[in-house]
Amino acid sequence: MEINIAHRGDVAVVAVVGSIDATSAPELSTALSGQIAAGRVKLVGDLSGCDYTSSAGLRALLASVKDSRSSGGDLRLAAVQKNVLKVLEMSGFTSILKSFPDVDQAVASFGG
Amino acid sequence: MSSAEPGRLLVVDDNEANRDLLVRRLERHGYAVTTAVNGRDALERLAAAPFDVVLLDIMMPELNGYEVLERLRDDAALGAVRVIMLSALDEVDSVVRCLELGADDYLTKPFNATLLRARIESSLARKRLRDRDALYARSLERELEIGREIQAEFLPASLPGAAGWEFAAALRSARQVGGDFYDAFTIGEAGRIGLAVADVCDKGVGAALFMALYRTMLRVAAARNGTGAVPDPGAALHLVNDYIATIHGRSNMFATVFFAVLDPASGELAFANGGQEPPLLRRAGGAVERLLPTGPAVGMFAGTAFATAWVRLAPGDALLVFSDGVTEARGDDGTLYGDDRLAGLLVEPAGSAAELLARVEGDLARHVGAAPASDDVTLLAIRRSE
Repeated sequence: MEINIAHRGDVAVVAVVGSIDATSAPELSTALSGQIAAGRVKLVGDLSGCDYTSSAGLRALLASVKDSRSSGGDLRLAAVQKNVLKVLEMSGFTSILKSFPDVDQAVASFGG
Repeated sequence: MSSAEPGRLLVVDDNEANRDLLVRRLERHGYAVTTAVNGRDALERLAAAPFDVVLLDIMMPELNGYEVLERLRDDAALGAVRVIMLSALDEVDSVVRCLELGADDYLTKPFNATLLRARIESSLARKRLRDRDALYARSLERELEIGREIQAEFLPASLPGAAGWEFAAALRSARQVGGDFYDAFTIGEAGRIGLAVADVCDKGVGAALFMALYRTMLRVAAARNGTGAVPDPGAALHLVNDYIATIHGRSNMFATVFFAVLDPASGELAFANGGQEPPLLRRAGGAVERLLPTGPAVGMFAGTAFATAWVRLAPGDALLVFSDGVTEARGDDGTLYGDDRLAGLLVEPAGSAAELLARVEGDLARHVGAAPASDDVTLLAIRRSE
């Protein structure tokens, strides 16, 4: 798994490339919590390059969505791929996380 | 071994004069020194007693230094022993070869006393570090084994019996401890049976601690919401959800949970599915139904509602509840086992709950082959006899 972070205005786009499993999930947690700690609480998870996530990845997303919201921000997802979408739907994450077809729309949803 | 103990050295050289000179020097420094007269002798001594550092001559009859080194590095039991090659100055090329073969260091003859001491001390320090690591790994292993034994006791020792019903269950952990569990237990006086399969997120010790908590909470909630005139598994999941999300919210742990209450007399199964892979219900006639989620994973946010749904199991119907370790099991070639392949196993009628379980385990084993298990695999099969 690889993580790339880009800033679009006050929105941090955290792109995940590869699979998120128990070994790589802590890295995702660290990346997301690092942004929140630096005051960037509007987060977009770009999952266009992510083909799989285990429950450890969901846990990382849950922690970040809670933390960002409690600081007045949010974590939103972009370009979720089929396998990952299935896991998100099954576990009910689609009911708590807003998801957009691509990064531009996810960034725009924060209203500039 | 404490650093106060003298290092245990093995000097291997076929030249008696070289050997004696080196031994005298090393003993003066307080090391415990043993000698070997050739490569074969060296391997025998290494097998017979523990050593920290071997001082190994390269050119010897009866197995030269290279061959001894290769055998040492191929032998897991001797992997921690440090090796210093002894060479004449014109053997520098071969020293490089030895380093590539896994030697730690080299000394050229004739030996400089200070250099000799420094190299040996540095190798000894490395050996002691490895010994400490090995000791630590062993004690960690022991702790996990204790955890595994205790966790096994959180699974039911035996499955409940009910006339006209068959139950079978299995749990194969990917690690010593994990977050999956199944449960099957009698609720209240009416002979109802609580059935659960759950998968706590993430892996390892953290998941195992929460497994114990979820399992206990679920039993408490079942006693409260499973004994009334109409059992309400959805209310039970709501209770567990709010407790975990409120009291343990900072851990961000959640679990997918399928929880059902069976009335063996009528065959009515009340269930709530919190984000769990839909259990498969194979009707006696061959149709397969999926018991879809009635709520999200349990423990994420307080206040979440979980609906209760109902199905009736008729004679010959079989229900297969499973964790995602089944459908997401990777084969040798990296492919996932998948829902379709699992559902395909239900085309043939189940002879019994145990037979159905064995059928799934057998097919899963064929798919996984020699690939290492990446997740816990949990299965619970229930069948109403014909």
